[in-house]
Amino acid sequence: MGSDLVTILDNVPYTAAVTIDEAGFEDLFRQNFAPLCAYCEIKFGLPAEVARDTVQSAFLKFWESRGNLSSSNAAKSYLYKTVANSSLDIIKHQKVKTRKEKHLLAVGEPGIINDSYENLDFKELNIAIDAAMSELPEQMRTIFTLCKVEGMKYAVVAEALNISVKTVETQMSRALARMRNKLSKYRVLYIAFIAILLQLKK
Amino acid sequence: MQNESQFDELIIRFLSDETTTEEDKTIINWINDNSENRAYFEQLQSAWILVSAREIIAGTDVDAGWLLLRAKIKQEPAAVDFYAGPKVDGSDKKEDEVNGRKSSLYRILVASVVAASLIGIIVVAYFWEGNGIRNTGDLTRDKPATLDVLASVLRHEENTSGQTKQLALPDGSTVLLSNNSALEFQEPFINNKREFTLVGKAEFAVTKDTSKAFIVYSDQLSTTALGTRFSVASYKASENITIQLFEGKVVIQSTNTAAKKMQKAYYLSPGEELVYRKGGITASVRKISEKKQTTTAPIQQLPFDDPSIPRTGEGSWYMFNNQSLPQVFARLEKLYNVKISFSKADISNLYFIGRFNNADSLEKILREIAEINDLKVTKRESSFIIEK
Repeated sequence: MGSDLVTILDNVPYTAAVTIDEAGFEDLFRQNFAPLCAYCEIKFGLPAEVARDTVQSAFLKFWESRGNLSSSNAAKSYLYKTVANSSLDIIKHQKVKTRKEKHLLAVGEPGIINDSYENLDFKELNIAIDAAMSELPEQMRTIFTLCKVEGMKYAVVAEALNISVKTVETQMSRALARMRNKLSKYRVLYIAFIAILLQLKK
Repeated sequence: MQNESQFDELIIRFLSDETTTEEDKTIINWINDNSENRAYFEQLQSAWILVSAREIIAGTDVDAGWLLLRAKIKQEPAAVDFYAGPKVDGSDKKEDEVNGRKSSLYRILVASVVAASLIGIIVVAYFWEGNGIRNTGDLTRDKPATLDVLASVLRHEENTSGQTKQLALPDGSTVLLSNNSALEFQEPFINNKREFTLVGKAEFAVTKDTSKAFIVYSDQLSTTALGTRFSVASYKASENITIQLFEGKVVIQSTNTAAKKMQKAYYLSPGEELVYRKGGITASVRKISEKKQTTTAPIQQLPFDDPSIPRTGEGSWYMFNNQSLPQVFARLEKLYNVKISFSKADISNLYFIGRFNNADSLEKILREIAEINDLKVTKRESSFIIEK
């Protein structure tokens, strides 16, 4: 893990080093905290609280070693890399139980560059998702919201809506197909998350 | 493409964590079977992940996160001791080490302790029954008070009046201290923090001060806020500690990091309450019901013979923790609004550790301090003179 950090720092041009003050740090935090939490939670399957702590620690580490980075882009890469390394560390040492084995997608390749995710415009994405969801038929949207957004189990949703589990599955699968079409411009994202499946095959 | 639709539902269940291990294998084989399958899966997964990310981002409390991070950055050196829980035995020793004037101080210390006992004093290591309460010794250790600073006293407010009592804090915040409850804090605040130890129930309306975190310690929990309104109920007789948030944001943490239980910080949104079972293994967050949102505590329901605060019968008091006499007198002047004259040269080497009750007269307190330090007290019309 240490060596990865060194690698990052080595790749950063020192010529234009700027110091980051607390206001700048707060901006950096406010812009990247939530996306980093999501990244950590999704890519490494860590529970929300663990993800939050991991991201907090990354920011703390960054603050302690500030002044070595030249631009906000380098700062962002540093944070993503630190979060990735720490997450892998946690998984390897089984400090926490990941939600499900299959989320261990990324084991092995912490170095995969997550440019696509890092550089997402989350405000724009938010609008795109809202738009895509609003176009779903009502029942489909309800089911999608309950299962995906609220995280309810299919069986629970089925009972709540008095429909069969099979119907929930069908509606979910159609909803996702529609979402996929609407969000196709963001598809590049998968590169960051797919590694895990290859691992599982072994 | 027939292939795809057939797997659509399996894919969605896979992504939703609804598949069995058997099904997982099936789907992974299918994905790895050819690049077309994989591309199809990746598209669906990508949309799925985007929605997940959006939800997590929307549900992440950035303000609270920043608050917590900021607190970590600011208190770095003190953090470890601070949360480590009670260390009764170590605290006397630490005091001495820090003061580094052990021998010269020792006599005065002993003398003061004797004096203290005369007026019902408890010495340095004062704790509520040792349960995750902070070590006051540690708090004063980092910044030994200097002569220029007004002495900070440990102020203890106890309410057994049968009614809720309102306290105005130096920072403009207000506290509604319920019956059968006690609150302790340094006055003025020290170490750039507003820290309180609560037994029983209190509601806090916090004046925003981004440079001073507002922290309430209640048994095994600490609640941190900046500009908010919340209540903490932590009765000894109750199984639970309940923290209700009405406005703003708070972060709740376990005061004992060694404990397995509740290692993570909890974040409350307005209208939510956290119920922490002291003997259980978890804490739960839920909506505050209308009935409970009243500010008056249901104290009457507590059994009379099991009071929520130690029945000391001493009422409210102030405690000095090894402060120089000039500081102590300056503080007493403020508290009693009476002039106390003294020559700094006479008393600058003298220190005082001790506690006195609100009800004690200033004259009584001064005479106790004077007697043990071979000083003379003269009472004038509206002032006191202290001399060697």
